[in-house]
Amino acid sequence: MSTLQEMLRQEEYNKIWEKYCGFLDLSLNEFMLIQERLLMEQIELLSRCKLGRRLMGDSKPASIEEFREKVPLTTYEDYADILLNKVEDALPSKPQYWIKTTWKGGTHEIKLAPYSESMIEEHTKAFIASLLLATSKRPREFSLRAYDKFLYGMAPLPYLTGLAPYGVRNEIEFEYLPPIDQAEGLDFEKRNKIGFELALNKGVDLFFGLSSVLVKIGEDFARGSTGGMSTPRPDNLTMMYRLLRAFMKRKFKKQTLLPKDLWEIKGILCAGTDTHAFKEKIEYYWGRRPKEIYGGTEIATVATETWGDSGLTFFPDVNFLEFIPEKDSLRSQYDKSFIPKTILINEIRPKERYELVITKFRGGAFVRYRVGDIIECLSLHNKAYNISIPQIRFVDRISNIIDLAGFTRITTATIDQAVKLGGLPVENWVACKQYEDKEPILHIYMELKDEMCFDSVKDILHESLKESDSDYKDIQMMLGKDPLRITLLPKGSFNEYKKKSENIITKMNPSQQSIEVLLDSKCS
Amino acid sequence: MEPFSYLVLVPLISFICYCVLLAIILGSRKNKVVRYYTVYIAAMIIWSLGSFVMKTNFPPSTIFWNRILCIGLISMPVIFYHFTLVLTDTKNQKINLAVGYFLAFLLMIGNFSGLIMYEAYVENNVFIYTLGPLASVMAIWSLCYMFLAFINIIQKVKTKKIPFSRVKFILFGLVLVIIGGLLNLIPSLGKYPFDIVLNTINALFIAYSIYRYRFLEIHIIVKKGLSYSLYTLALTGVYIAAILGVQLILLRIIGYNNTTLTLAMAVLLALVFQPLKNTLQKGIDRLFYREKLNHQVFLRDFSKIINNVLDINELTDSLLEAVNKAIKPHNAYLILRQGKEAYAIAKSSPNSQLEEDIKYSNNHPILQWFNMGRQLLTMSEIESSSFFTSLWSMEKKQLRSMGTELIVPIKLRDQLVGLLILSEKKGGESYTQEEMDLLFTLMNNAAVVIENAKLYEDAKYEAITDGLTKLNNHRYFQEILSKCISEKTYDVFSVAMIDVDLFKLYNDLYGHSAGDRALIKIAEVIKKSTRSEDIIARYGGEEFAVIFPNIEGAASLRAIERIRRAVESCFCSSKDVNEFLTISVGVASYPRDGLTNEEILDKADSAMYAAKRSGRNQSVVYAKKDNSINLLNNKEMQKVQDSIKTAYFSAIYALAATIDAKDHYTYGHSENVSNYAVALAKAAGFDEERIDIVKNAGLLHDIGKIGVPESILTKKEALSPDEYEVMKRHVDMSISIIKHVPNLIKVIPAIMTHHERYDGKGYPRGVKGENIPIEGRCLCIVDAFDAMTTDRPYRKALSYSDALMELRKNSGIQFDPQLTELFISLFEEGNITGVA
Repeated sequence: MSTLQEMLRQEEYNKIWEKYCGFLDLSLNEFMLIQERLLMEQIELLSRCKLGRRLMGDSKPASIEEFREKVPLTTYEDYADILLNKVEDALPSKPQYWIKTTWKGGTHEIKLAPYSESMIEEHTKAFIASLLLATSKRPREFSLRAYDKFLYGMAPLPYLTGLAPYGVRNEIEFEYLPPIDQAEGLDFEKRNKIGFELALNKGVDLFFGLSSVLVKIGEDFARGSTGGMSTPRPDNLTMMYRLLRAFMKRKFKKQTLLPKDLWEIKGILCAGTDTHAFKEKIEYYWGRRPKEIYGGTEIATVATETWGDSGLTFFPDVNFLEFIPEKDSLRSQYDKSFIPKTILINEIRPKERYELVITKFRGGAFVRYRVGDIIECLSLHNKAYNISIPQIRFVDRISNIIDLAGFTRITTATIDQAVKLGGLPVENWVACKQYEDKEPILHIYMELKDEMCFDSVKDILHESLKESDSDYKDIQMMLGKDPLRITLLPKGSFNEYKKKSENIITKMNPSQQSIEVLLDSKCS
Repeated sequence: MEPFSYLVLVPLISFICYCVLLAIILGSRKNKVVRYYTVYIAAMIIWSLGSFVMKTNFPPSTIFWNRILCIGLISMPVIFYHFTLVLTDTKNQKINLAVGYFLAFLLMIGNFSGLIMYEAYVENNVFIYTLGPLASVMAIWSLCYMFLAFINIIQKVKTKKIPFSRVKFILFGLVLVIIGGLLNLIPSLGKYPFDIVLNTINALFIAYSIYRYRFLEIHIIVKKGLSYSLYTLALTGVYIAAILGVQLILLRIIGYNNTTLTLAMAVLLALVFQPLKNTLQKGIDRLFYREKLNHQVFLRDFSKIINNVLDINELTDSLLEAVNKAIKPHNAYLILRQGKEAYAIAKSSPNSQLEEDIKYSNNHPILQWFNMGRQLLTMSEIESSSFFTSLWSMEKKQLRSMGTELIVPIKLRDQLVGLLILSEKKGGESYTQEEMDLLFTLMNNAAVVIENAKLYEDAKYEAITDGLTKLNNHRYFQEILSKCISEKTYDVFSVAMIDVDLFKLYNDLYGHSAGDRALIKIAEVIKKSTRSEDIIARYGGEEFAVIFPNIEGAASLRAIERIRRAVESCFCSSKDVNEFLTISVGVASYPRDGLTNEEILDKADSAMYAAKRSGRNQSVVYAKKDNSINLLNNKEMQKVQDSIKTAYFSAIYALAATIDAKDHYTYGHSENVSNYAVALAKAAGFDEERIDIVKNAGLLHDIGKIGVPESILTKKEALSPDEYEVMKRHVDMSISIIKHVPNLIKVIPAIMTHHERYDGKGYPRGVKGENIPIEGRCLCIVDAFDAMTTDRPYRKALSYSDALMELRKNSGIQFDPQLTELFISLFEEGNITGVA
């Protein structure tokens, strides 16, 4: 089998496109046939293992319908005993890597997900497809090449984002900034810092990271600060010229220096909850609109963005996709006895939101797994680029989790713990995610038992959150931003709300209408 | 200089070679490697052209052509070095490369400033030159870059980034070039054009390498065109040389040139050359189209062989042999259609290693690809086309482990008969268009014959297979058995006869379709619980037969017991009401129990009947003295029977207690029915086992009522139609409960039919007359009698005489007339008394 690098060397660009991005030409019917056939393989693999028999029972479903009828929806609790103890014999296929993530609000601190050889192969293929798309302005024209300088701003193994370079290296060689083996020993901040220092010397062709980090670097440049980076020592003529040009622009023309003055990036690939909110800023600072990639530890790379800001397109061969309509998803959170029904990708409708349910293909462990992500169907196709697969957008985590810029996931437990840690006399609270200047913030509405000064409440809570959630701490450290907003409600506000409204207010992400009623209660 | 001097001819031949190579490259698909190779060839063309023309004293001057030569000579090393970097995908030698180009640029300036060749001219056919100060620098520099190229390739090979096989010809070529360069440093040898000869060989080596390892795809048209051009060029060259030769001879003989004479000689030579041309054309055809000629021979031979073959095995062997001979792949696999919905591996090369069987269903992407009318499929297409996204990972892995490179369809008209999967060729080359054409023709020819052979095979299979169970049929079984005996295939073997218990009743109760399904299931169970070498057949109706090679006596008993248990556990573990079937098995051995078909089958049959007689669901091995006995010794037998009995009775009483817990009245009724039934059975002359059956059936016949709501059981008013339906279900429910207790299976027929009427209007199945098992007919009478003579929630008890009258009234309608009469007479004669 030819690798991507060999195909690039032989200039087989059409073949490359067909191999990695050919799925964009599929009709919805063809997409469904792929889903169906690969699900049958997964059922076959599951039927041979303990985990599969536990979830599917002894009789092997013979069709999609039977599978959806017989197999219950699952959550991580259904797998915890097998996966957290790494019981490989109980799995449909032998894992090569165990990928880790935090389990906020779960029964354990972490979640583990097994990745088999075939899954890594598919994950790599999906990642390369996303890179090709990130470096393309229209179908079949891409500028990705071997030995491109790749500023890789994501967490290394055992996190999912660290898996891609290991699969990709069998296909193509990139010059990672910093090199992967060096990056693995560095923390997030240091890794990004060294990466950008190297980029100043060598130049950069590709970027993969959190969109919020790119915005932060852009802002620093615009302010004239390079965050303590060492003096650049360009090691090629292009960078020498660009640095000289940037120097002239700043010193003599007195113009604001932006990253795009230094680097001509071929492609920017971004992940993270709030990428859509940062896109315009990134384009302004970096001169190239980022392409969004959507995935997760349990689900791998699920969808990728194409062209024309029309949304993301699902990969047909990574997961079997099912969707729970948002209202049923919400109901099932409060009514545990309610079992929501799912629909398939050929049944979703534009402008509707859904909770994603996946069954991993290629020997993965998760079956009818509720990921906890909400997506929105933007349209059923991307007409301008002849894509006949529904175009979606990742909206957020399900409402009981607040994800801030891809850095942290705040749950009820996180806030309760911070309140306890800070010793705040809180009567009741609700929290929601809001946007300020297109950037996400955490807004907590609090009613105190005793009077306290607003500033000290804010400071105590901010510090307690930093102490109890290290990821929250990273937001300020990395982005230099305070994401916390507090509104103190007068005493009795929540009681007043209860009298006024028949609905119980939810702790996390209550509706805007509920917030307004709560604030009205304050006024009365 | 003389036109035929080697000093002129060598560069001329090199020049022609390079031009031909350039033509090939221009006619092929371009990529980075090919582009750099093209530049290298261009440099060599300049070198050889300069070298050739320089020695012919062609205007403007010798020194001019020498400087042209030097352009090629200077640019060649660095271009060649660059080419090797591209070929080996080396990126870290940019500085060396930049320095090389820069120095080449300086040397170019030196060349045109006369610092490399100070002067050069031809005088009296002798080439005279004076080297400039940079000539030796250029030579050393040139060698250095050749060494750099060499070291780089060696390093890539050492670090296993590139296989040696892929670059070996390039390395050999490089060694030759370096030797050529070193020879130039020795003045006595440097005057001969070794360097240009060795460089030409190098260029040819590279061309071969990049062609063989698929960097260069030469189109067939270009190849054919080039072959004819070469042939014409060679012939014209020889023709012109001949004319010039004749002219020279004439000049020497007669001292002057005569145009008329020369023309006459030319015509004469043309006449002589015609047969020579034909011979040459044939030779060239053989040389260039040997592959094609061979293929034609293969096709002819293959057609001869296959037209006389009807055996599918022989045919597939011949087909694979022909493919292996003609194409020489490492492995070849043949997948053929099996039935209507699947394709499976039929044959593979002897050295192939398949870990798992291949089985493709009709919706398989590879089959769909060919059904859409496509001709060939390469592994590269499978790996890169989104059409194959739905291919299972395990299927991809399998194709890779088979080393798949090419898949050729075997098509008969529009029908896909099968597939031929080929791995890489032994020589490592890619498949040529001719080979693909050959494969396509070969498979087209084979399709008709394969289809015929398959039809023949199917007909043969049909003739020896039982249509329902897909086991061997009776005729084939007899044939095999005769063969085993006549040919003494095995020293010993055993034959088992298997009969399904109560199958007639099963058919009557559930219908013949259910009966057929049960037989298929039993056949499956027998297949699974026997060895691969055992021969299984459906012997007739509900009878099966098995030949167990190489076992007898106790081993054969163990073999049939395994089958019996498998059937028992398969049916009893099912939740289906109607799956209560068991089998009785008898086994006899050759040569101990008989020497002919008939003898062995009779003995196995009598052992099977002994199993039936001793209560069904048994395994019995034939023994001569007392007809048939189980081979377990008496003590063991007694022990087993005791434990069975204990388990049996505990089961019955546990179940009876269940009824009691539900409704004490029902228990009393069950006991009465049991007692009456035993009396009637004894009077009717039942053997002990059957008496036991009716006794236990009487106790348990209403066990299913534990599933009937009490509101219905104790209802005083008449039951509504819906309630009556619920009540009727207690029979099936009884079976569902009892069938899970292996020891109680025997009572099922009695319980199942105790509400059936003699006129066929009963429930649950509406079985009629003698089709109702006699135990069921017994129960029916005594159950009705006890029900009439005891108080019920909805009415008072009838007197015994009224009840007996009622029995008589319904004799032959609801009840078996003979048994009714017997029961009445027992009562009237006082052999039965009423119960309290």
